[in-house]
Amino acid sequence: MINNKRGGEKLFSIWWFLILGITAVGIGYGVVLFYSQDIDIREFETGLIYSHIGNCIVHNNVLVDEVLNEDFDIYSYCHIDKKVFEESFYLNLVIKDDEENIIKEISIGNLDLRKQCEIVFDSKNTQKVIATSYARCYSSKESISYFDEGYRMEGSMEFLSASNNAGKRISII
Amino acid sequence: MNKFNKKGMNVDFYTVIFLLLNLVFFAMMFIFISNSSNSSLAYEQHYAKEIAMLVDSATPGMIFNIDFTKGFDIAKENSKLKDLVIIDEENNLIKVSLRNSGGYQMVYFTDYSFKVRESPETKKILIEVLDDKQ
Repeated sequence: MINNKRGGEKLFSIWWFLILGITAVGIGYGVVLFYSQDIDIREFETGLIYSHIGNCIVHNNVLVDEVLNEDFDIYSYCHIDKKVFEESFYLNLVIKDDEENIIKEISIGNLDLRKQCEIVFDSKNTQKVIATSYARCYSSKESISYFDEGYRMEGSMEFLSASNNAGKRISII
Repeated sequence: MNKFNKKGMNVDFYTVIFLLLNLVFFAMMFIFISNSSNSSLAYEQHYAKEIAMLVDSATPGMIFNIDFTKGFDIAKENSKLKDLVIIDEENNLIKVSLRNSGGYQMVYFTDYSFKVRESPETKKILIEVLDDKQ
């Protein structure tokens, strides 16, 4: 015979609340995770870089003369903030003549993003791997005209832009 | 018929406390889920990124008239009446806050100056693109 048995009903409620607590944490985590999903606009930003720079240096399909100057500063000419651009964006611009010789190359921003683009995309701009935390990239090649010593020449412009810009939550405004 | 001496359910003190604690727990869960699902988290991010993209595509002289209906409604529920959208030109940040404790910020790359006007009556945010930063 076992004496002084204590009823387990009151003690079992501690486990019940422990299970409730675990359930609450699980539900809370799921709800916060769902409502704090990131909206990814990096791909749109690569397009915005392309259109912003394109509208800045090409007018009516003709390259602006200043671009070919040695002291051309694309940041100030196209109203881009240097500090911000070097952190989360990348731009590579290659101007070629009709014989595919490089006349001018401009490369600004975060170089790491270029390497990420090379890893993710092949030379034909097909995505090789899926890497969600890597930069989103945009590339294009277009025919343009430019002036060389007063003569209008035909050439091409190769454009590569990349963005790995992520916003963040802030606790105090 | 003898209606006396029938025993009802014997509800003791511990059972009542147990039921009350369960009720408190489920009420807290319900309030938490209701607060999370009023979507201030999601809308802050949505508006910050939308405005950042508009600003990145801007040229001087443009005026953006942004429909901020949902933003104003959520801010009103959270008793936040002003400074819902702040453009920090020094750090190139768009900050959107629909509650008193925090918000969402997004970087933009253009170098212009902006003027932001909030219009709670029409539920619009007007952003005027000025020339270079001063």
